[in-house]
Amino acid sequence: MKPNEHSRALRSRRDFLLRGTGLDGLALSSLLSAEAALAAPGGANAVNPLASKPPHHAPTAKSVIWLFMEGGPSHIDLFDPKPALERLAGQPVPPSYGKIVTAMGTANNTLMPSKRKWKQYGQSGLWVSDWYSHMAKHADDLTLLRSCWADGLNHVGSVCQMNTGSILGGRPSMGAWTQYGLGAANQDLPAFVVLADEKPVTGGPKNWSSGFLPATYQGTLFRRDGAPILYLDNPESVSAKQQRSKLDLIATLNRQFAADKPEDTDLQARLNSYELAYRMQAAAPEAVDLSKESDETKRLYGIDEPHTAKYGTNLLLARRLVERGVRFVEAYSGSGSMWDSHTDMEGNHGKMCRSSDKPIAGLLSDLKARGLLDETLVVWGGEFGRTPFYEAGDGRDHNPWGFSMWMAGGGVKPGQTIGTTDEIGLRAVDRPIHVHDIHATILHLLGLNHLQLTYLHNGRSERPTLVAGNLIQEIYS
Amino acid sequence: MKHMHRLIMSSSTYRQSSNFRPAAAEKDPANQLLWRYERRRLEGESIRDTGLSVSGLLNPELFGPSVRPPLPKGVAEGAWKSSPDLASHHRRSIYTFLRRNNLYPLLDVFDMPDTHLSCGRRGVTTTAPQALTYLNSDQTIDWARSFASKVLAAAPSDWKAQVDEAYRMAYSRPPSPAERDTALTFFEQHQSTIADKQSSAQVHAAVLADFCHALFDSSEFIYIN
Repeated sequence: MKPNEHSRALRSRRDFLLRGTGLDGLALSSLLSAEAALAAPGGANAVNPLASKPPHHAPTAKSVIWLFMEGGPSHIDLFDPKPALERLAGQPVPPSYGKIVTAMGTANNTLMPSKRKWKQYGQSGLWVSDWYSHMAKHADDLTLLRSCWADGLNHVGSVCQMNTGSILGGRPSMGAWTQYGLGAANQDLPAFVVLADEKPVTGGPKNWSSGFLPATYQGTLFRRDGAPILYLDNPESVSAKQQRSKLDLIATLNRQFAADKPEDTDLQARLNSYELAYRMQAAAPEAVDLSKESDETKRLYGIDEPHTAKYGTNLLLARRLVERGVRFVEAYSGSGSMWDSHTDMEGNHGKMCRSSDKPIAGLLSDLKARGLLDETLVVWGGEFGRTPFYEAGDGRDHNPWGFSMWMAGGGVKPGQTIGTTDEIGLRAVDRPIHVHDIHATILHLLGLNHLQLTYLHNGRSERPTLVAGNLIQEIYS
Repeated sequence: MKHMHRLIMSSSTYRQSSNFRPAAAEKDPANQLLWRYERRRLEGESIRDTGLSVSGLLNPELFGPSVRPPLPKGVAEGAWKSSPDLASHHRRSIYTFLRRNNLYPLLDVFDMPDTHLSCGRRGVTTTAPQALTYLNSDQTIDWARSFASKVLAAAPSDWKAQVDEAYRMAYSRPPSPAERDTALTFFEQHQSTIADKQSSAQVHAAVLADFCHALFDSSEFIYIN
C-alpha cells in the first residue's frame, strides 16, 4: 500500500491513538511497532513483496507439508478406537448426547462399530488401525490430536475453514499468511504450492487464495500435465537465445523508463520481476523433475505400484519442494471429496487408505533420512471426521464435532496423544482443539505469532485466526 | 455526483503528472499535500484493453451477454468452452465472463480481487508470474504480431521509420535518440536469433514482432505517469 492513500486526514484519530501521546501511548507504540512493520508489506518492501522477512520468534519449522485427506477420513476407523461402540452396536445414540443435527439427517440411525483390527505401536503405544499399517511404523514420530473440532457441516465450508479459518470464502489461507509473514526462502520458486491428485479440490481456488492480502501471496496450483506453472515454458516458436535477447531489450527499455524516476521502487521491482521469471523458468522444471531420484526412493513412496503412484509422486514432489525452500506445500489425497464415505466405509476407506498409507510413511522416512523432518512440519487430517452411527447401512456421515489429526516434525514433541472424544467418538470432550488452535500452532512453529500477524483490511486489522486461536502448547514444549 | 466528479477531475491537483520533485519530496515525502499524482499501474482489465487496442485487435462492440475468451492449455479447473464467435474474444475486458472459481488468468495475475468477498481497494503487486504471462502467453504474442503488422503497413521498409511509428502507436510520442539507437541495435543483433529463416522478409517481421512485444512489456506501457 502506498503511504498516501488519498483518503486519510493528515492525522486521523486512529493514527493519533496508535502513535500515542503520553506514556501510555509510548508503551502502546512500542507494542505495535512490530505489528506495524508487518502490516505494511508494500510500504516496508515495495521492491519485493516476497523478500525473506524475520520471524516474530525463533521458528522450529521452516516448511509445512499439509497432507489433506479431502472428504473427511473416519477417526473412528483410523486413530481413535471406540470399544464402547461394540457394546452399543445396533442401538440408537444414548439420549444423554442430546440433539444431533448432521449433514444428511442420520442422527437417528444406530451406532456402528469399526470393523478394523487395532494395535498399539511404538514406545508411545499409539493406537492405529490396520488400514494404516505403514504409517503405524512411524508412531513415535507423530503427535496425535484426537479432540479436533470445526464449524462446518458440509465439504465446501469445512475444507475452506481448514485452509482459511472461515467456512465462508474470501479469507487468506494459511499458506498465504505464511508467505506474508516470512516471505519466500527461495525466490525462484512459488513459496506456496498446492498439489491435487484426483479431481479439482472442493471449493477450488478460494482454498489457497490470498483473500484480502496482496494477490502475490496466493498459492500456486501445480498443473499435472506439461509445465507445472502457467506460461513457464517459452512458446514453441521462440528459441532460448531469442527469448534472452528479447529480455535484454525489455530490461533496457525498463531501465530507460525508470532512469529519471529513481524514487519509484515499483519500477525497480518490475525490472527484477523479469529476471525472476527467467530464473523461475530454469528452477521450476528442475524442482519437479523426478528422473534424478533413485528407484529406491521411488519405491519408498510407492511410485512403482499403481494404487500408490499418484499420491506417492505428489509427496516425493513435496519433499523436493521443501528441500528447495518452498514454505508451504499442500498435498491433497483424494481431491474432489474422495474420502467422503456416506456409503461403503470398507470399500471407500479401504481404497483411500491403501493409496495414501505407503506414500505418507515413505515421506516421513525420506524426510527423516535426509535430516529434513526436524525442520519440516507434516500435518495430516481432513476437513472433519465421521459419525459413529451409520448412514445408508454401511457408511458414515460428516462429523465436525470430534475428529483426529496428527502433526510430525518441525519442532513437534512426538509420541503424544492429545485430547479425547467421548466414548462413542462423536464429540471432543477433553481438551477440545478448534481449527483456529491448529492454525495458531502451525504459525507458531513457523516463528509467527498469530496475534501479531495482521493486515489492515476495510478498517480492521485482520489476523489469521479471526478473534480466536489458542496455542496447543503441549505439542512443542 | 456528476458535478462533484467534474469538479475533482478538472482540478489542477487531479491533473498533475507523476513527475518527481526532490524539493517537494523533502518537505512532504509521503505526498500528503498532493504535490503530484502518484504513478500507478493500470488494472488488469485496462492492460488487456490497451494491448488489444494498440495491436489493432480490439472489437469495440457494445452491450450484450458476456464473452468466454479461450483459456490457456492446461487450465482444467472450472474451465469453460470459449464463445463460438471468434471476433467476440477481442471485446473489452468488461465483457469477459466471470466465473467465481476460475478467474481469467490474465486478469487474475494482474491483481484481480478475490471474487468471494467485497473489495474496498485493489492491491497492486509486481510478480514473476506477471512477467511470464507477458512473455509467454498466446495473447501477448498475438498482440505483438498484430501490432507489428500494423507498423509494417504504416512504414513498410525502413527500420528507423518503423521504430518511430511503433513508439507513436504504443506510447503516443516519438522515441528519444537514445531509444532509437537501442531499437536499431536490437534489430541488428536480434536477427541472428530467429530460428525460422525462410526469407529475409519473414526474419524482418519476426524481429519487429519481438520489438513490439518488448514495447508491451515495458513499464511505460502499463504505468500512468
